[in-house]
Amino acid sequence: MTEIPKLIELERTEQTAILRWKDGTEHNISWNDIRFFCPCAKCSPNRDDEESALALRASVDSLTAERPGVIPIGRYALTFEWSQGCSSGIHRFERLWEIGEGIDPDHGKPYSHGAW
Amino acid sequence: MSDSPVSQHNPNKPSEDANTAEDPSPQQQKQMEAQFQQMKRQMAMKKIAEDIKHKIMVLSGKGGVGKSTVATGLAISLADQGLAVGLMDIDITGPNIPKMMGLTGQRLHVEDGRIYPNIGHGGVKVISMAFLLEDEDTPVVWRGPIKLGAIQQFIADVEWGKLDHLIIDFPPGTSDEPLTVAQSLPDIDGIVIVTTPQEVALLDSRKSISFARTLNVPVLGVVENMSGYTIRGTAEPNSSMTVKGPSGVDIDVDVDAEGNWSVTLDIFKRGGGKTTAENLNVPFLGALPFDPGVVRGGDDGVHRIIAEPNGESAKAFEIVVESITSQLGGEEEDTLKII
Repeated sequence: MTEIPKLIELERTEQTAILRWKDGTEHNISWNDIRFFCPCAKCSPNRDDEESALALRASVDSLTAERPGVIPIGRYALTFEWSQGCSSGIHRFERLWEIGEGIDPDHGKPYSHGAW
Repeated sequence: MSDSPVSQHNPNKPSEDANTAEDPSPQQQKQMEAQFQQMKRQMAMKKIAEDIKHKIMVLSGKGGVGKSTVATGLAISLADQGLAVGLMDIDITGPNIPKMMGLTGQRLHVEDGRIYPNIGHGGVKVISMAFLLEDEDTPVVWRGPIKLGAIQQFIADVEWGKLDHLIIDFPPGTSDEPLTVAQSLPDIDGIVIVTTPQEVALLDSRKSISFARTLNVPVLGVVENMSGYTIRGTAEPNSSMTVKGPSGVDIDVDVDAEGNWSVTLDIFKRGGGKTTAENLNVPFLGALPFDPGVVRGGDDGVHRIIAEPNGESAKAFEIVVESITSQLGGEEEDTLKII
Protein backbone atom coordinates (compact mmCIF):
# COMPACT_ATOMS: atom_id res chain seq x y z
CA MET A 1 0.00 0.00 0.00
CA THR A 2 1.30 3.46 -0.92
CA GLU A 3 2.65 5.44 2.06
CA ILE A 4 0.92 8.80 1.93
CA PRO A 5 0.61 11.85 4.18
CA LYS A 6 -2.55 12.34 6.23
CA LEU A 7 -5.47 14.04 4.49
CA ILE A 8 -6.32 17.04 6.63
CA GLU A 9 -8.74 19.06 4.51
CA LEU A 10 -11.20 18.52 1.68
CA GLU A 11 -12.65 21.61 0.07
CA ARG A 12 -15.57 21.01 -2.27
CA THR A 13 -16.11 23.41 -5.15
CA GLU A 14 -18.75 22.93 -7.82
CA GLN A 15 -16.34 21.24 -10.23
CA THR A 16 -13.43 20.00 -8.15
CA ALA A 17 -12.22 18.53 -4.90
CA ILE A 18 -9.30 20.36 -3.35
CA LEU A 19 -7.44 17.95 -1.11
CA ARG A 20 -4.87 19.27 1.35
CA TRP A 21 -2.42 16.80 2.88
CA LYS A 22 -0.37 17.10 6.03
CA ASP A 23 2.95 17.46 4.18
CA GLY A 24 1.63 20.60 2.45
CA THR A 25 0.70 18.93 -0.84
CA GLU A 26 -2.51 20.21 -2.43
CA HIS A 27 -4.39 18.33 -5.14
CA ASN A 28 -7.16 19.78 -7.24
CA ILE A 29 -9.12 16.85 -8.68
CA SER A 30 -12.20 17.17 -10.83
CA TRP A 31 -15.25 15.40 -9.46
CA ASN A 32 -15.56 13.68 -12.80
CA ASP A 33 -12.13 12.09 -12.35
CA ILE A 34 -13.15 10.88 -8.90
CA ARG A 35 -16.39 9.50 -10.34
CA PHE A 36 -14.56 7.86 -13.23
CA PHE A 37 -12.21 6.08 -10.81
CA CYS A 38 -15.08 4.94 -8.57
CA PRO A 39 -13.79 1.74 -6.90
CA CYS A 40 -17.18 0.08 -6.52
CA ALA A 41 -17.85 -3.39 -7.91
CA LYS A 42 -20.18 -1.99 -10.58
CA CYS A 43 -18.00 0.84 -11.95
CA SER A 44 -14.54 -0.74 -11.62
CA PRO A 45 -14.91 -3.51 -14.23
CA ASN A 46 -15.81 -0.81 -16.78
CA ARG A 47 -12.21 0.42 -16.64
CA ASP A 48 -10.83 -3.00 -17.58
CA ASP A 49 -10.91 -2.38 -21.32
CA GLU A 50 -10.59 0.74 -23.40
CA GLU A 51 -14.04 0.66 -24.97
CA SER A 52 -15.98 0.33 -21.73
CA ALA A 53 -13.64 2.84 -20.06
CA LEU A 54 -14.50 5.39 -22.75
CA ALA A 55 -18.20 4.68 -22.23
CA LEU A 56 -17.78 5.12 -18.47
CA ARG A 57 -15.94 8.41 -19.04
CA ALA A 58 -18.72 9.61 -21.36
CA SER A 59 -21.42 8.68 -18.88
CA VAL A 60 -19.59 10.46 -16.04
CA ASP A 61 -19.00 13.56 -18.18
CA SER A 62 -22.68 13.70 -19.10
CA LEU A 63 -23.74 14.11 -15.45
CA THR A 64 -24.62 17.55 -14.13
CA ALA A 65 -21.82 19.13 -12.12
CA GLU A 66 -22.60 19.17 -8.41
CA ARG A 67 -20.97 19.42 -5.04
CA PRO A 68 -21.34 15.99 -3.37
CA GLY A 69 -21.99 15.10 0.24
CA VAL A 70 -19.02 13.43 1.94
CA ILE A 71 -19.02 10.66 4.53
CA PRO A 72 -15.74 9.63 6.17
CA ILE A 73 -15.30 5.87 6.34
CA GLY A 74 -13.28 5.06 9.44
CA ARG A 75 -9.72 6.27 9.21
CA TYR A 76 -9.06 5.19 5.68
CA ALA A 77 -11.58 6.37 3.08
CA LEU A 78 -14.40 8.66 1.98
CA THR A 79 -17.64 8.11 0.17
CA PHE A 80 -19.24 10.78 -1.96
CA GLU A 81 -22.97 11.19 -2.32
CA TRP A 82 -24.25 12.58 -5.58
CA SER A 83 -27.89 13.09 -6.50
CA GLN A 84 -27.31 11.14 -9.73
CA GLY A 85 -24.77 8.55 -10.84
CA CYS A 86 -22.96 6.13 -8.59
CA SER A 87 -22.43 6.93 -4.89
CA SER A 88 -21.36 3.43 -3.83
CA GLY A 89 -17.59 3.69 -4.03
CA ILE A 90 -15.44 3.69 -0.91
CA HIS A 91 -12.55 5.90 -2.01
CA ARG A 92 -9.41 5.01 -0.05
CA PHE A 93 -7.15 7.98 0.75
CA GLU A 94 -4.36 6.23 -1.17
CA ARG A 95 -6.50 6.19 -4.32
CA LEU A 96 -7.36 9.88 -3.98
CA TRP A 97 -3.69 10.70 -3.48
CA GLU A 98 -2.78 8.70 -6.58
CA ILE A 99 -5.45 10.39 -8.69
CA GLY A 100 -4.08 13.73 -7.49
CA GLU A 101 -0.55 12.69 -8.42
CA GLY A 102 -1.67 11.59 -11.88
CA ILE A 103 -1.09 7.91 -11.09
CA ASP A 104 -3.63 5.33 -12.25
CA PRO A 105 -5.17 4.18 -8.92
CA ASP A 106 -5.96 0.80 -10.48
CA HIS A 107 -2.26 0.41 -11.41
CA GLY A 108 -3.34 -1.00 -14.75
CA LYS A 109 -4.78 -4.09 -13.06
CA PRO A 110 -8.22 -5.44 -13.97
CA TYR A 111 -10.86 -5.40 -11.28
CA SER A 112 -10.72 -8.29 -8.87
CA HIS A 113 -13.66 -8.74 -6.53
CA GLY A 114 -12.82 -8.38 -2.87
CA ALA A 115 -9.21 -7.28 -3.44
CA TRP A 116 -8.10 -4.24 -1.48
CA MET B 1 -41.14 8.09 12.82
CA SER B 2 -42.18 10.77 15.30
CA ASP B 3 -39.02 12.88 15.11
CA SER B 4 -38.70 12.68 11.36
CA PRO B 5 -39.14 15.89 9.35
CA VAL B 6 -40.68 13.77 6.60
CA SER B 7 -44.45 14.10 6.57
CA GLN B 8 -46.41 10.89 6.25
CA HIS B 9 -49.01 10.73 3.51
CA ASN B 10 -52.35 9.36 4.64
CA PRO B 11 -54.45 8.24 1.63
CA ASN B 12 -57.64 8.30 3.74
CA LYS B 13 -57.24 11.93 4.66
CA PRO B 14 -57.07 14.11 1.56
CA SER B 15 -55.38 17.42 2.13
CA GLU B 16 -55.61 20.67 0.22
CA ASP B 17 -52.28 20.29 -1.50
CA ALA B 18 -52.63 16.57 -2.19
CA ASN B 19 -51.69 15.42 -5.67
CA THR B 20 -49.83 18.64 -6.43
CA ALA B 21 -46.44 18.62 -8.13
CA GLU B 22 -44.75 19.36 -4.75
CA ASP B 23 -45.91 16.11 -3.16
CA PRO B 24 -43.01 13.68 -2.89
CA SER B 25 -43.60 10.30 -4.40
CA PRO B 26 -43.42 7.29 -2.06
CA GLN B 27 -39.97 6.58 -3.45
CA GLN B 28 -38.83 10.16 -2.80
CA GLN B 29 -40.27 9.97 0.69
CA LYS B 30 -38.33 6.80 1.27
CA GLN B 31 -35.15 8.49 0.03
CA MET B 32 -35.75 11.50 2.26
CA GLU B 33 -36.36 9.24 5.21
CA ALA B 34 -33.14 7.35 4.46
CA GLN B 35 -31.25 10.65 4.19
CA PHE B 36 -32.71 11.79 7.50
CA GLN B 37 -31.66 8.56 9.20
CA GLN B 38 -28.20 8.88 7.65
CA MET B 39 -27.92 12.46 8.93
CA LYS B 40 -29.06 11.39 12.41
CA ARG B 41 -26.48 8.61 12.43
CA GLN B 42 -23.73 11.02 11.36
CA MET B 43 -24.67 13.40 14.16
CA ALA B 44 -24.56 10.50 16.62
CA MET B 45 -21.09 9.52 15.34
CA LYS B 46 -19.93 13.09 15.83
CA LYS B 47 -21.26 13.03 19.39
CA ILE B 48 -19.44 9.76 20.08
CA ALA B 49 -16.24 11.30 18.74
CA GLU B 50 -16.67 14.23 21.13
CA ASP B 51 -17.86 12.33 24.21
CA ILE B 52 -15.61 9.25 24.16
CA LYS B 53 -11.91 10.03 24.41
CA HIS B 54 -10.45 6.67 23.43
CA LYS B 55 -11.93 3.79 21.47
CA ILE B 56 -10.11 0.48 21.50
CA MET B 57 -11.01 -2.61 19.48
CA VAL B 58 -10.10 -6.03 20.90
CA LEU B 59 -9.61 -8.58 18.13
CA SER B 60 -8.27 -12.04 17.57
CA GLY B 61 -7.99 -14.08 14.44
CA LYS B 62 -8.84 -17.33 16.20
CA GLY B 63 -11.65 -18.19 18.60
CA GLY B 64 -11.09 -19.39 22.14
CA VAL B 65 -7.99 -17.35 22.89
CA GLY B 66 -9.69 -15.43 25.70
CA LYS B 67 -10.59 -12.27 23.85
CA SER B 68 -13.70 -11.45 25.90
CA THR B 69 -11.79 -12.21 29.09
CA VAL B 70 -9.07 -9.80 28.01
CA ALA B 71 -11.58 -7.14 26.92
CA THR B 72 -13.39 -7.43 30.26
CA GLY B 73 -10.09 -7.35 32.15
CA LEU B 74 -8.94 -4.24 30.31
CA ALA B 75 -12.24 -2.48 31.04
CA ILE B 76 -12.17 -3.35 34.76
CA SER B 77 -8.49 -2.54 35.06
CA LEU B 78 -9.02 0.89 33.49
CA ALA B 79 -12.07 1.51 35.68
CA ASP B 80 -9.97 0.61 38.75
CA GLN B 81 -7.79 3.60 37.86
CA GLY B 82 -10.83 5.85 38.29
CA LEU B 83 -11.54 6.18 34.58
CA ALA B 84 -15.01 6.18 33.01
CA VAL B 85 -15.17 3.05 30.88
CA GLY B 86 -17.66 1.48 28.48
CA LEU B 87 -17.57 -2.08 27.17
CA MET B 88 -19.37 -2.88 23.92
CA ASP B 89 -19.93 -6.55 23.15
CA ILE B 90 -20.15 -6.80 19.37
CA ASP B 91 -20.26 -10.59 19.41
CA ILE B 92 -23.88 -10.68 18.26
CA THR B 93 -24.26 -14.44 18.05
CA GLY B 94 -22.15 -15.39 21.07
CA PRO B 95 -22.41 -12.56 23.59
CA ASN B 96 -20.55 -13.53 26.78
CA ILE B 97 -19.54 -10.23 28.31
CA PRO B 98 -22.66 -9.84 30.54
CA LYS B 99 -21.98 -13.20 32.18
CA MET B 100 -18.36 -12.24 32.84
CA MET B 101 -19.47 -8.88 34.26
CA GLY B 102 -22.05 -10.41 36.60
CA LEU B 103 -24.93 -8.98 34.56
CA THR B 104 -26.70 -12.17 33.51
CA GLY B 105 -30.45 -11.72 33.14
CA GLN B 106 -30.30 -7.92 32.95
CA ARG B 107 -32.36 -6.12 30.31
CA LEU B 108 -31.68 -2.84 28.54
CA HIS B 109 -33.45 0.37 29.43
CA VAL B 110 -34.72 2.34 26.42
CA GLU B 111 -36.01 5.87 26.70
CA ASP B 112 -36.84 8.37 23.93
CA GLY B 113 -35.26 6.06 21.38
CA ARG B 114 -31.96 5.95 23.28
CA ILE B 115 -30.53 2.75 24.74
CA TYR B 116 -29.02 2.95 28.22
CA PRO B 117 -26.19 0.51 29.01
CA ASN B 118 -26.13 -1.64 32.13
CA ILE B 119 -23.57 -0.99 34.81
CA GLY B 120 -21.10 -3.72 35.70
CA HIS B 121 -18.08 -4.05 38.02
CA GLY B 122 -16.20 -0.82 38.65
CA GLY B 123 -19.00 1.22 37.08
CA VAL B 124 -18.18 -0.12 33.62
CA LYS B 125 -21.07 0.59 31.24
CA VAL B 126 -21.91 -2.54 29.26
CA ILE B 127 -23.91 -3.07 26.11
CA SER B 128 -24.48 -6.51 24.64
CA MET B 129 -26.87 -8.47 22.49
CA ALA B 130 -27.36 -10.77 25.48
CA PHE B 131 -29.44 -8.06 27.17
CA LEU B 132 -31.99 -8.35 24.36
CA LEU B 133 -32.41 -12.13 24.46
CA GLU B 134 -35.24 -13.89 26.27
CA ASP B 135 -32.81 -16.30 27.89
CA GLU B 136 -29.16 -17.24 27.42
CA ASP B 137 -30.02 -20.33 25.36
CA THR B 138 -31.81 -18.30 22.70
CA PRO B 139 -29.72 -18.27 19.52
CA VAL B 140 -29.42 -15.18 17.33
CA VAL B 141 -30.09 -16.51 13.83
CA TRP B 142 -29.38 -13.46 11.73
CA ARG B 143 -27.77 -12.94 8.38
CA GLY B 144 -25.02 -10.35 7.92
CA PRO B 145 -27.03 -7.23 7.04
CA ILE B 146 -29.29 -7.57 10.09
CA LYS B 147 -26.26 -8.05 12.32
CA LEU B 148 -24.73 -4.94 10.83
CA GLY B 149 -27.90 -2.96 11.54
CA ALA B 150 -27.73 -4.06 15.20
CA ILE B 151 -24.06 -3.06 15.41
CA GLN B 152 -24.79 0.36 13.94
CA GLN B 153 -27.56 0.81 16.51
CA PHE B 154 -25.17 -0.19 19.28
CA ILE B 155 -22.81 2.48 18.04
CA ALA B 156 -25.22 5.29 17.28
CA ASP B 157 -28.20 4.81 19.59
CA VAL B 158 -26.53 4.01 22.91
CA GLU B 159 -26.38 6.74 25.53
CA TRP B 160 -22.81 6.23 26.72
CA GLY B 161 -22.39 9.65 28.29
CA LYS B 162 -18.84 10.91 28.62
CA LEU B 163 -16.26 8.13 28.67
CA ASP B 164 -12.49 7.99 28.92
CA HIS B 165 -12.34 4.61 27.20
CA LEU B 166 -14.66 2.45 25.16
CA ILE B 167 -13.47 -1.13 24.81
CA ILE B 168 -15.08 -3.02 21.93
CA ASP B 169 -15.07 -6.80 21.98
CA PHE B 170 -15.58 -8.76 18.74
CA PRO B 171 -16.19 -12.29 17.58
CA PRO B 172 -13.06 -13.90 16.13
CA GLY B 173 -11.96 -13.01 12.62
CA THR B 174 -11.70 -10.00 10.39
CA SER B 175 -15.05 -9.89 8.70
CA ASP B 176 -18.36 -8.02 9.02
CA GLU B 177 -18.29 -6.97 12.66
CA PRO B 178 -14.86 -5.33 12.99
CA LEU B 179 -15.14 -3.94 9.47
CA THR B 180 -18.46 -2.25 10.29
CA VAL B 181 -17.10 -0.71 13.47
CA ALA B 182 -13.85 0.40 11.84
CA GLN B 183 -15.84 2.01 9.03
CA SER B 184 -18.44 3.62 11.28
CA LEU B 185 -16.19 5.16 13.92
CA PRO B 186 -13.83 7.70 12.38
CA ASP B 187 -11.31 8.00 15.20
CA ILE B 188 -10.55 4.59 16.65
CA ASP B 189 -7.37 4.78 18.69
CA GLY B 190 -6.26 1.30 17.87
CA ILE B 191 -6.60 -2.45 17.93
CA VAL B 192 -5.43 -4.82 20.64
CA ILE B 193 -4.82 -8.31 19.28
CA VAL B 194 -5.21 -11.25 21.63
CA THR B 195 -3.44 -14.48 20.90
CA THR B 196 -2.22 -17.64 22.54
CA PRO B 197 1.35 -18.77 21.93
CA GLN B 198 0.69 -21.66 19.54
CA GLU B 199 1.44 -21.33 15.83
CA VAL B 200 -2.15 -21.65 14.57
CA ALA B 201 -3.31 -18.73 16.73
CA LEU B 202 -0.32 -16.67 15.71
CA LEU B 203 -1.02 -17.20 12.04
CA ASP B 204 -4.52 -15.78 12.54
CA SER B 205 -3.16 -12.89 14.61
CA ARG B 206 -0.97 -11.88 11.73
CA LYS B 207 -4.16 -11.61 9.65
CA SER B 208 -5.67 -9.32 12.29
CA ILE B 209 -2.59 -7.10 12.06
CA SER B 210 -2.89 -6.96 8.26
CA PHE B 211 -6.59 -6.14 8.66
CA ALA B 212 -5.75 -3.19 10.91
CA ARG B 213 -3.18 -1.93 8.44
CA THR B 214 -5.62 -2.20 5.55
CA LEU B 215 -8.10 -0.01 7.42
CA ASN B 216 -5.38 2.36 8.60
CA VAL B 217 -6.18 1.68 12.26
CA PRO B 218 -3.11 1.64 14.54
CA VAL B 219 -2.19 -1.66 16.15
CA LEU B 220 -1.71 -0.93 19.84
CA GLY B 221 -0.13 -4.32 20.25
CA VAL B 222 -0.37 -8.03 20.89
CA VAL B 223 -1.42 -9.62 24.20
CA GLU B 224 -0.34 -13.20 24.73
CA ASN B 225 -2.99 -14.96 26.77
CA MET B 226 -2.68 -18.34 28.51
CA SER B 227 1.02 -17.74 28.41
CA GLY B 228 2.19 -20.20 31.05
CA TYR B 229 0.85 -22.10 34.03
CA THR B 230 2.88 -21.65 37.18
CA ILE B 231 3.02 -24.32 39.88
CA ARG B 232 4.41 -23.34 43.27
CA GLY B 233 5.41 -25.26 46.36
CA THR B 234 7.80 -25.52 49.27
CA ALA B 235 10.77 -27.82 49.87
CA GLU B 236 14.07 -27.86 51.72
CA PRO B 237 15.72 -24.43 51.34
CA ASN B 238 18.54 -24.10 48.79
CA SER B 239 17.96 -27.59 47.44
CA SER B 240 17.29 -28.80 43.91
CA MET B 241 14.46 -31.01 42.78
CA THR B 242 12.82 -32.43 39.70
CA VAL B 243 9.21 -31.88 38.71
CA LYS B 244 7.44 -34.01 36.13
CA GLY B 245 6.13 -31.75 33.35
CA PRO B 246 3.72 -32.53 30.50
CA SER B 247 4.42 -35.88 28.82
CA GLY B 248 6.56 -36.87 31.81
CA VAL B 249 9.37 -34.49 30.90
CA ASP B 250 11.70 -33.80 33.84
CA ILE B 251 12.04 -30.15 34.82
CA ASP B 252 14.85 -29.18 37.18
CA VAL B 253 13.85 -26.67 39.84
CA ASP B 254 15.93 -24.74 42.37
CA VAL B 255 14.43 -24.09 45.79
CA ASP B 256 15.23 -20.63 47.22
CA ALA B 257 16.58 -19.77 50.67
CA GLU B 258 13.04 -19.52 52.07
CA GLY B 259 12.15 -22.95 50.76
CA ASN B 260 9.87 -21.73 47.96
CA TRP B 261 10.00 -23.04 44.43
CA SER B 262 8.00 -22.40 41.29
CA VAL B 263 7.96 -23.71 37.77
CA THR B 264 6.06 -22.36 34.77
CA LEU B 265 4.70 -24.89 32.32
CA ASP B 266 4.36 -23.51 28.80
CA ILE B 267 1.21 -25.40 27.90
CA PHE B 268 0.73 -23.68 24.52
CA LYS B 269 4.43 -23.12 23.79
CA ARG B 270 6.13 -19.91 24.83
CA GLY B 271 6.86 -16.41 23.58
CA GLY B 272 4.98 -16.75 20.30
CA GLY B 273 3.03 -13.54 20.82
CA LYS B 274 6.20 -11.58 21.48
CA THR B 275 7.94 -13.06 18.44
CA THR B 276 4.94 -12.28 16.23
CA ALA B 277 4.82 -8.70 17.53
CA GLU B 278 8.53 -8.27 16.85
CA ASN B 279 8.32 -9.81 13.39
CA LEU B 280 5.42 -7.59 12.40
CA ASN B 281 6.88 -4.52 14.06
CA VAL B 282 4.01 -3.91 16.48
CA PRO B 283 4.26 -3.49 20.28
CA PHE B 284 4.09 -6.49 22.58
CA LEU B 285 1.72 -5.46 25.37
CA GLY B 286 2.38 -8.29 27.78
CA ALA B 287 1.65 -11.89 28.67
CA LEU B 288 -1.27 -13.04 30.79
CA PRO B 289 -0.72 -16.22 32.77
CA PHE B 290 -2.80 -19.35 32.40
CA ASP B 291 -4.95 -18.99 35.49
CA PRO B 292 -7.82 -21.39 36.27
CA GLY B 293 -9.22 -18.63 38.51
CA VAL B 294 -9.88 -16.54 35.39
CA VAL B 295 -12.07 -19.32 34.01
CA ARG B 296 -13.96 -19.69 37.29
CA GLY B 297 -14.32 -15.91 37.55
CA GLY B 298 -15.74 -15.73 34.05
CA ASP B 299 -18.35 -18.35 34.88
CA ASP B 300 -19.22 -16.78 38.23
CA GLY B 301 -19.38 -13.23 36.92
CA VAL B 302 -16.54 -12.07 39.16
CA HIS B 303 -13.44 -11.33 37.11
CA ARG B 304 -10.11 -12.46 38.56
CA ILE B 305 -9.07 -8.80 38.89
CA ILE B 306 -12.01 -8.21 41.24
CA ALA B 307 -11.64 -11.46 43.18
CA GLU B 308 -7.88 -11.13 43.67
CA PRO B 309 -6.84 -7.53 42.98
CA ASN B 310 -3.24 -8.15 43.99
CA GLY B 311 -2.94 -11.51 42.26
CA GLU B 312 -0.70 -12.48 39.39
CA SER B 313 -3.43 -12.01 36.75
CA ALA B 314 -4.40 -8.56 38.03
CA LYS B 315 -0.74 -7.48 37.95
CA ALA B 316 -0.33 -8.85 34.43
CA PHE B 317 -3.41 -6.89 33.32
CA GLU B 318 -1.95 -3.73 34.88
CA ILE B 319 1.15 -4.13 32.73
CA VAL B 320 -0.96 -4.58 29.59
CA VAL B 321 -3.10 -1.54 30.45
CA GLU B 322 0.01 0.55 31.13
CA SER B 323 1.44 -0.48 27.74
CA ILE B 324 -1.80 0.56 26.03
CA THR B 325 -2.42 3.85 27.83
CA SER B 326 1.19 4.95 27.37
CA GLN B 327 0.55 4.84 23.62
CA LEU B 328 -2.71 6.76 23.70
CA GLY B 329 -1.32 9.98 25.11
CA GLY B 330 -3.33 13.14 25.06
CA GLU B 331 -2.17 14.79 21.89
CA GLU B 332 -4.90 15.91 19.56
CA GLU B 333 -4.86 14.27 16.17
CA ASP B 334 -5.50 16.27 13.01
CA THR B 335 -9.09 15.49 12.11
CA LEU B 336 -10.21 15.76 8.53
CA LYS B 337 -11.91 19.06 7.83
CA ILE B 338 -14.55 18.98 5.12
CA ILE B 339 -15.53 22.32 3.65
